[in-house]
Amino acid sequence: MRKSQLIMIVMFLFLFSRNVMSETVYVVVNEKNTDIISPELVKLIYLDKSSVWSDGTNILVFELPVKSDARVKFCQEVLNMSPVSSQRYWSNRFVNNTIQNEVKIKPHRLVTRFVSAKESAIGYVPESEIHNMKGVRIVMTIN
Amino acid sequence: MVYISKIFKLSYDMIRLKSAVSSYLFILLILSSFTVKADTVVELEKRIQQLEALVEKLMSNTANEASLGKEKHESDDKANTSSLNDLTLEVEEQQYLIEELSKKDENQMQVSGYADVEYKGSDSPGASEEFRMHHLSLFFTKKFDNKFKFFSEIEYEDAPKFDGVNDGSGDLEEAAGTIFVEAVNFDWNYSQAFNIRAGRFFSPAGIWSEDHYPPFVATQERPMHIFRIFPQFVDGVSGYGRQYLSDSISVDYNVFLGNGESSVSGKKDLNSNKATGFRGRIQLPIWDEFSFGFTFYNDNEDSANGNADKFAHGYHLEARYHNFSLQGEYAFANLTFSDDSLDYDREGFYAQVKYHLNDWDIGYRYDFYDANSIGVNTIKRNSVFVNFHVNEAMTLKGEYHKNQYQDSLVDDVGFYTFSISTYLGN
Repeated sequence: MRKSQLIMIVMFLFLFSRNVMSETVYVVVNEKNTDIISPELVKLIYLDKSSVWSDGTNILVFELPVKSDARVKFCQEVLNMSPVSSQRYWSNRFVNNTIQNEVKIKPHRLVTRFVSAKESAIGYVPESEIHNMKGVRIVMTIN
Repeated sequence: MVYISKIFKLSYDMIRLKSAVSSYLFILLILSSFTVKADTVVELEKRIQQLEALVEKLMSNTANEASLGKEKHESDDKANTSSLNDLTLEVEEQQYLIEELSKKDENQMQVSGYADVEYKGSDSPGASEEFRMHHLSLFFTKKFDNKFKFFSEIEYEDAPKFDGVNDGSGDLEEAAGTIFVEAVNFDWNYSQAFNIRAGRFFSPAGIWSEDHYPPFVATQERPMHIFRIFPQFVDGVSGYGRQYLSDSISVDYNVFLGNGESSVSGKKDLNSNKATGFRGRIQLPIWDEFSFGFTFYNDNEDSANGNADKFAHGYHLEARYHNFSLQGEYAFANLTFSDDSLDYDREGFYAQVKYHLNDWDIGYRYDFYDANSIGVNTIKRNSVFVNFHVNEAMTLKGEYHKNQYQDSLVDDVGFYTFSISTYLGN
């Protein structure tokens, strides 16, 4: 393949790639959750490949709506996929009856509230929620 | 005076708000005594957000008034603070009610499904193009608690119609299409490492056997060997789970026991032999996702294949690196009969690569299938496809397949399908 063709393809791919929001996204768990939560574990949880905390309790996963900017950023930075792909992934696991985690889609304001209320919960929220972080622990920051 | 009138207005607004909240709570209590719908919870969440916004606005207004340095009556301040506290308490109370309602909602039976419609054609001489009302599948699921759940799928294929003869004979005048209970099973989830499933479920063999639903697979046409080497489903019981060997390496297993393939497997086994199978899979921290595994299956009296002694094994690999994904499966079955001269093998594999760009998927698949090692039965298929995801639930697909036959008497044929498929769940 000629060099110019290669450059054209790369430019095409960049043109169609989406911009990631500049706002920071925080991954949060309940403040009573003392597990060590690595970025890899966050990824495995959101790919439904890890479904229990270290004490054996089931993980309650909170997702944001597909069109949420924070979800775009989270999916691209953590899962390396688009929010639509991520949602299709969850739906597929539901219909083929292999889903393990309990997943709920909530607006980010409620995610913070629910995570602070549920010890087994994990969620992620945009920077605008930083003042409502009572009862939650930030385990990962996505800049 | 202006300030006093503002205070009165503020108090009046809060009284109206309180009245609205009280009315809402009353309605909420009535609703909670009836069946709770998902809409109710969503509405409640919206309402909470509105109330929170109002509380913030009121607090902000109060702060602004204070910053203006105007004189305030102490009694008005107290009334304001008291009203705000009441509202905050009511918001918290509603949050508690939401949680209670959510719990009830989780335990409700859920209905979801998928549907797809196709337009198919072929370059085979004389073949006509057609619309096909391929699938309408309904899922009924229920989660009893964290340990027990129920899952079922009823499929209506090709817009079934069954029409009786009105002569008392009970005969059918017309019967077309298929109504098929594809899945009906109960799960007991003990832990991540150990779970039990009983009932009818798709064979845990390779990838496509379970991962085959039209809204989520690249092509309407499945790879040729799927459901032909390992059975489509198992009526029986399985034990499955996942165990982590390190932070990012895990193994999962699925061991199953069932009636084996037959036309009446849902009611009784045609023989006393049970079919057994095992799928193992390891997930490694390579690329974004990477896993490979194997499946073994044994049925000593396969009723669907002339009571052959069937032993099958397969291997699969699935990987994703950013927008590229790759998957492949190989399967082989050996069928032996009491008359050795009838013995034959069955073999198939495919490899598929897909690139995802924004809402589009494009890809290619190579597919091979040999139904019977005796004779010339090999088919090779090259497939190209493009998918457009209208949203997270709906997908438009275009695919073209070219079959090449080993049998020189059969002409190679190409065929295409355009389809729309949608997931009907939340």
